[in-house]
Amino acid sequence: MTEALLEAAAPHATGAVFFDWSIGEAVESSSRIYLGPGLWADAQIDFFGDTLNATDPGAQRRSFGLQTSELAKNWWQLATVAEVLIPGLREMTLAEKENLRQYYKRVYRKV
Amino acid sequence: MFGDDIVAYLPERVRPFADQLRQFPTGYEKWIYSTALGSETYQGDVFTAVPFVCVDEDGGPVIAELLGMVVSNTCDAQPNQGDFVLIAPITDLQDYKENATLRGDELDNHVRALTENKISNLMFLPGGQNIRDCFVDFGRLCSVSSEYFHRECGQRRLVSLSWCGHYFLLVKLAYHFTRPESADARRGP
Repeated sequence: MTEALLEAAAPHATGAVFFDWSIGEAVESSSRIYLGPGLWADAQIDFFGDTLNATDPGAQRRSFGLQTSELAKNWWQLATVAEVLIPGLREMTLAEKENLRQYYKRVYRKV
Repeated sequence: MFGDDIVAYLPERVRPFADQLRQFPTGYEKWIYSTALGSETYQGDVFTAVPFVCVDEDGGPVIAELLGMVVSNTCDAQPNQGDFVLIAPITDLQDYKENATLRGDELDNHVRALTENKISNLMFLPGGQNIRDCFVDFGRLCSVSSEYFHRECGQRRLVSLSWCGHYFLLVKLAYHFTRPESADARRGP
């Protein structure tokens, strides 16, 4: 994969706030789909539309249908509500992780 | 796009609770639990004395018997539906605080964040009629034989979540498992 493609893919893996990230994913109408080593195809993605279609050279048109769209809507709304509902929602710090790890070492025993 | 109003994004049966949700975490203990236990096993139900098995850093199994929350979808958690029920371990908050390695302000801040449900992989459960203050850990899920679970643990249910409580569980699960990867993640094609 070329550096250009790596850079093109980078915005999809940002650590930004979930809301910003999901909006970015949602409004993007054109993307590139990886098909295999050296193979990329343009895809038109209607993220929250009724269908999610992808075309690639030599392959039939793939349609994932309504279900995929509904699933995407569902998790997107749930995860977005999480950020509105719980301001400051975050992952554990390293110290908190270590604290939990040590606690579990006390609770779990080897067989 | 959303503003701060979540009403439009709530399922129909949760909309009546929008005001309570907006006041979160105030009043959380008043709406998280169902007032009755149904006849079926529901996603979010809490059972006592559930066996948990993990693989430790030496590659061997470690076990514990803990409270556990059903994370499997309600459909999958019914007898004869799936081979396994996915359970998340629950830790008693008092015991956790008494055996913490964090100290002072660090511990206070951690417990505050935990009880306000600000830690993505942990879900705080407030004390109630059958349960003490405790928290669920989505990072240590365990598959338990459905046959064993329903035979041995099925009668030991402590609490069930309300409509609103179940929605809150889904919100936390969705965020934890679908949040974006770190910018440091350099995934290959």
